[in-house]
Amino acid sequence: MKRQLAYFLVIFIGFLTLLGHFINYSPLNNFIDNDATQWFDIISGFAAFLGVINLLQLHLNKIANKRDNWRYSIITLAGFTIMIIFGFIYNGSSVAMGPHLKEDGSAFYWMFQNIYLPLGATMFALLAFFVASASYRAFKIRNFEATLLLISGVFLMIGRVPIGQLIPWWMALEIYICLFFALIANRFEEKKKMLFSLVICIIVLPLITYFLNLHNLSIFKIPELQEWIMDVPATAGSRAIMIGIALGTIAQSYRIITGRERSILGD
Amino acid sequence: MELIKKIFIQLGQLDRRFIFLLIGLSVLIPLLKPDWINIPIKTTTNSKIVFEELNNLKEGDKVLVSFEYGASTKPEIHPMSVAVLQHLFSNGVKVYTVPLWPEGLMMAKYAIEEVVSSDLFNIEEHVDYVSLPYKAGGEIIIRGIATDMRSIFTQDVNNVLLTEIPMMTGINNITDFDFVFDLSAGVPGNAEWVQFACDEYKIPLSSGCTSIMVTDAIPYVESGQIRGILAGMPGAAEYEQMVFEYLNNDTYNKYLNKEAVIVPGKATSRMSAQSIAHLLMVIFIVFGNISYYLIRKRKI
Repeated sequence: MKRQLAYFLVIFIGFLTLLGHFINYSPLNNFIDNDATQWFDIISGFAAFLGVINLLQLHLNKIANKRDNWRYSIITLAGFTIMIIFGFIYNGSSVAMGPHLKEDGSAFYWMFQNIYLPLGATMFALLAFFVASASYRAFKIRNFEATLLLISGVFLMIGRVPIGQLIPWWMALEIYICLFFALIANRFEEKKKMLFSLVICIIVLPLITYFLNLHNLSIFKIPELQEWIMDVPATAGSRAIMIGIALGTIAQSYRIITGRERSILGD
Repeated sequence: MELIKKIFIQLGQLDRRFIFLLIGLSVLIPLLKPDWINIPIKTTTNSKIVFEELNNLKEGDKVLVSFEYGASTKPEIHPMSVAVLQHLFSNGVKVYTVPLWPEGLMMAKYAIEEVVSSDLFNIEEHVDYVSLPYKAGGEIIIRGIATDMRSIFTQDVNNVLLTEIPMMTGINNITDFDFVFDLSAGVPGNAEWVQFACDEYKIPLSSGCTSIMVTDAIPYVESGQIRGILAGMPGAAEYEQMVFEYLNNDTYNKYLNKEAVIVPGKATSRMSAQSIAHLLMVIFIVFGNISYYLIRKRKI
């Protein structure tokens, strides 16, 4: 019975919310736009409370059973307790409780400013090191798809920063030539022939491009090429993903509000 | 020839710690000595669009600035939020800040404080800007702002009733704003502003976000649902430069304190570090590929 009541609530509220967007009836629209929004606010407030309980349970359990890395849980709980004390019990300044969370002088603000903020920035800054190391090891010309990824990645990395503007057209052309030869290198049986062709292309193609006045083309300006990659292929890919996600959301929502999807209640 | 091959193979198998050290130095040296490497910044089309959109706002126009970033993304987003606020205040625009992330509240406070302490403008709380508090709910809060803001917010961040703030008179939902500017580093972010508020109510929206988010946001930019985008630190540096030039050239600006010193923002000085780090990564990738090719040839 409990379960059926939960399903009924999900189905009823789901259809009601859906209808609110298609039927122009002011009490219904008002409920969807105002009342339901406030209900959500209240529920999300309780959800935060549940999250806190879950966090406590999880880490206390870990410490009690001395599971892997249980010592880190002590730090998590210590940090959690200290911030709770500074947020709700101990202020440390003359500012009233509540506004003290964002006022200089309070213990909570001190912790945010001097511990949380630098730690957060440090965590994100570490990404640069891992990205550098990972791209060095993983960005390899293994097949056609990997090569495409590598080329666009390199152009984006260079084109997004001011140094990309300093690369002259002829250097961009030489990069293209080298990338082209890197792609077709395996097709050459005689390496000397490949090297000869590469040297000829490196010398002759810039001259031809210059005399045909093609050096002003956007393709030879890396920042512009980068913008094109973002505007055309990246947009197309993102749109495809977005449409896919939207269709998936519609299908999943339909399953939920018609009671077909039971995993939401833990089944 | 064999020796060169060996060197290239070795270069492709560098120890991770050595890469970390080089990346660290490539970032640290330009940050400590910005004068050593001074690379000019060229503005991209999307940054120019954002600048033009905000520049077209008139005195007294109301702009909602949404803060959706935290400590981790502060170095990337914060410089653009300061530059955007400077630009808005220089045109006499009324600013309403709203955080949709818990940390966004502090970020909004820092950004406003930075603009106030720069002494560039004589701005006052509740006269030129209002800071709204954080409310949990993400996109539901966006929806609430779109339909009935007063049912969600009753006080500002300092617990002053909105009914007692003159700047809040007539502000009931998203249609009462002339523009929305979103500073985001995740969800809820610019996509949610498009989906739940700005697109439906036809309120112009621009955004500044982390570099990693640009690919997700760019379809909305291409369709015009987001009017230009400031993409990561480069976008912030471009915008800072445009605002810096604008403030320096606009000698008749009545909102600008003539005695105040206009200085370029933080993102501009960080761009050299990012440039060198990116270049170094590309060099690593090239070495890695040459080494990979040579090792594969040997195995064959």
